Amino acid sequence: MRLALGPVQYYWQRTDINHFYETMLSTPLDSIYLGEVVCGKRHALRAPDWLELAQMLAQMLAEVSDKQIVLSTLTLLESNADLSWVRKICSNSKLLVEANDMSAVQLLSEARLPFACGPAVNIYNQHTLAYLMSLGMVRWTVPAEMNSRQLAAVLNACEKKPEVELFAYGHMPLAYSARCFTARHLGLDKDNCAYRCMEYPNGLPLESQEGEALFVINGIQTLSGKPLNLLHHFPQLCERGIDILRLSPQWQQMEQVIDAFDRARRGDLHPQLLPPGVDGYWCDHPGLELIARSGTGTPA
Amino acid sequence: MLVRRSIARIGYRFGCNLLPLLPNWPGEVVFIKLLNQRLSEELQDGLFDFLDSKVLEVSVTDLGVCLRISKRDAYFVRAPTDAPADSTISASICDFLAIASGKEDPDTLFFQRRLCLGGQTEIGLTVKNRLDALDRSRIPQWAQRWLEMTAAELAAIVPN
Amino acid sequence: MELVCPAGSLPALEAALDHGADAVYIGFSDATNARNFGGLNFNDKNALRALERIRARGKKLFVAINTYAKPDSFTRWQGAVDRAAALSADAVILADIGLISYAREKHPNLALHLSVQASATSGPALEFYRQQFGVRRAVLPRVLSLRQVQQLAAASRVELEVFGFGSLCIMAEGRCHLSSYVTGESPNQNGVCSPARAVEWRNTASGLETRLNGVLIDHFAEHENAGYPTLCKGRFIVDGKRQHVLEEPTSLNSMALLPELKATGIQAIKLEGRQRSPAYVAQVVRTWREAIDAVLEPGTEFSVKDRWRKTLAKNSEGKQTTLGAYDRPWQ
Repeated sequence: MRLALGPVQYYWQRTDINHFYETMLSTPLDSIYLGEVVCGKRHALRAPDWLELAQMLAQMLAEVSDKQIVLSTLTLLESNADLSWVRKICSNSKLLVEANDMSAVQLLSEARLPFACGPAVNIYNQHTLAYLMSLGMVRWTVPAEMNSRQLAAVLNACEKKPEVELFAYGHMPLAYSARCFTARHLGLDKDNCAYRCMEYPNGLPLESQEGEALFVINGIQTLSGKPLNLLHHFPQLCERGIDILRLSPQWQQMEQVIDAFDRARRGDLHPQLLPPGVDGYWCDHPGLELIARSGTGTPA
Repeated sequence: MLVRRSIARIGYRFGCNLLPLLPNWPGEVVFIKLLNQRLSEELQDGLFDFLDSKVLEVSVTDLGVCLRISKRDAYFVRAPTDAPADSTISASICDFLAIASGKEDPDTLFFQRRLCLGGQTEIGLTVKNRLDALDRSRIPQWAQRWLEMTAAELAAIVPN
Repeated sequence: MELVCPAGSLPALEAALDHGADAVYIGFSDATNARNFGGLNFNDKNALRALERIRARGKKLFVAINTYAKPDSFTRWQGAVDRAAALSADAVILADIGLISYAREKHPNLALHLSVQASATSGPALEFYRQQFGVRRAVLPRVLSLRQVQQLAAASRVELEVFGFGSLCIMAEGRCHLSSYVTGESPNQNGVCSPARAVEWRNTASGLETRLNGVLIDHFAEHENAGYPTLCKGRFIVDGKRQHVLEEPTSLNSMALLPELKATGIQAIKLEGRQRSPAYVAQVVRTWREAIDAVLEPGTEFSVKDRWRKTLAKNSEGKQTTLGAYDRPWQ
């Protein structure tokens, strides 16, 4: 089982991003995804900066390890500026690109480049999977709401299977909008947002009127209120034909998350190393539920 | 026109005051009989099976009248008096007539809080959709005209 | 400019035809369409009746099969495409790539429209569906502003259809999992947002409460208008402030933009609302027919009539209309 670091969902300062990835280099990760996936207005790093950072990391790694660097594209394109950002990422000639919408799929397949599909590309069945593989898809990150049984059905029905990646830890991206909720909360227009989502490196928690943690708002994106945590299910994940587990970057304690999963793959599973989170989607329940309690694993 | 409106006004006031004092069952029996006649094809086709052994309560708030309907085999039946409602729909007589005559959209009334759903929302929603789907040409012309006229008269005299 | 109208039942379809629809879109009564509600939509018998009535008036019938096919029941979605083809529908409205590919291979003469659920927001995304499958028309997501619609139209080699009126999804369609996060059922896989079985309306001493699978999503005071019980339109707490964090119950209304949409070459205007009654369809379709006729009338200046504005406002969710995302300030 390989471990991947997903793209950062939040808007962090340039120095913090550089520092974060520097720290990540010394962790036992196998893949690192880089790039802005939420909002094309975020300008601490623009497309050329991400490309430069990615290429620099790739060079550094080439000498010391076999860690892979992957570039991720924007999820919701709303303007020509967003599209040109995606074009720049797709036309990098060295690194694998994760397409997060059909614009990137089109650009990459036209250029006859292999590509990965991120969780927001709607691949819900074996036929869609096979079609995109015929166009060059080599890696598939499963949509957030797909459960274990459905994934097995897709993979069982596949003649040829791509590398399968599953979002396994972190706040799940659930929705994208034309509206910026952070700006709205602060009483600002989206056009004059002053990039204030940078003030919330973990996003803004949204609770029900009864105080239940429901969502996290992060610019135009809505994330799950609690982190997904599939560590309990690790043995089952290995049997399901999953190749890569995606861990989603968080502002603090990322090393602990990576360490807990790394121990699990070395046969030293300790679910209590991480907060329980939620696992409903994987168990065919509403996403916000927690089904497997500590030590119980996947229910039959 | 004026005379008709006066009659409607008197009739409405009379209804509001008197109907709550009367037992529910005579109206309920007649209404359910009518439903069974008019909807026999749909009942045979199983389109109302979702009401099997469920209790749907339809309350006409201003008239204080309440119909409690269930379904057994291919017939609507009166719900047992002691059974709690699984789903409730309530509105004023004007609004029910406006919906029945095809003048108003139930969702519109719902947004304006004039139509209320309670209990299992799915039953209420399915009833609404099934009734929307009924072929209006099967309602006799005179009944359609009466519905439209009464709905219009009541809408004119009763504030929302 | 074609007026594409919703119908969840035969009477709604008749209302649409009576009041000026050029085309009517319907769905089959199961998870293959994105308005999968109890008692709604068409079985084979009614779909055939729908077709007869459409043909008698010389109008078009579109069938929406716009959810994502589940891996263990792909044949159900294939079956829906076959049924639409057997009806000789004028087009099917699809979102799932596997299903679009099937439709193209199995029914080469069936016109394909790309559903809004596919969330194609750029020239290359539209081009993907045209090159791969010969998609003829795409329904544009409601997230785009007028300027963005114009940019797309200038580059697009497929016909474009935009939303004119209806309840507003503020999230990019087909990319929202809020409903399944709380209820287990989603628009993408189950054709339903906030499934009715999970919705509870409860009168309390302080007003009306809505819960979705037990989660409190709003609380309305005595005379406040209500909306659909969707998560994006609930009131929540952020930073101690209780508000419509994501969106207020609101409907989209792009009528004022009709002249620009016409000038930019938009081929069709879509009205939302297959879940609404024939009364809604009649009122809204009539209003839009008049407006489109007015905008197509040569040599006249178009303005939204007060009467139209009132009718649409009355039928709106949350009793208010905005220009939605087509108007940049909304964003």
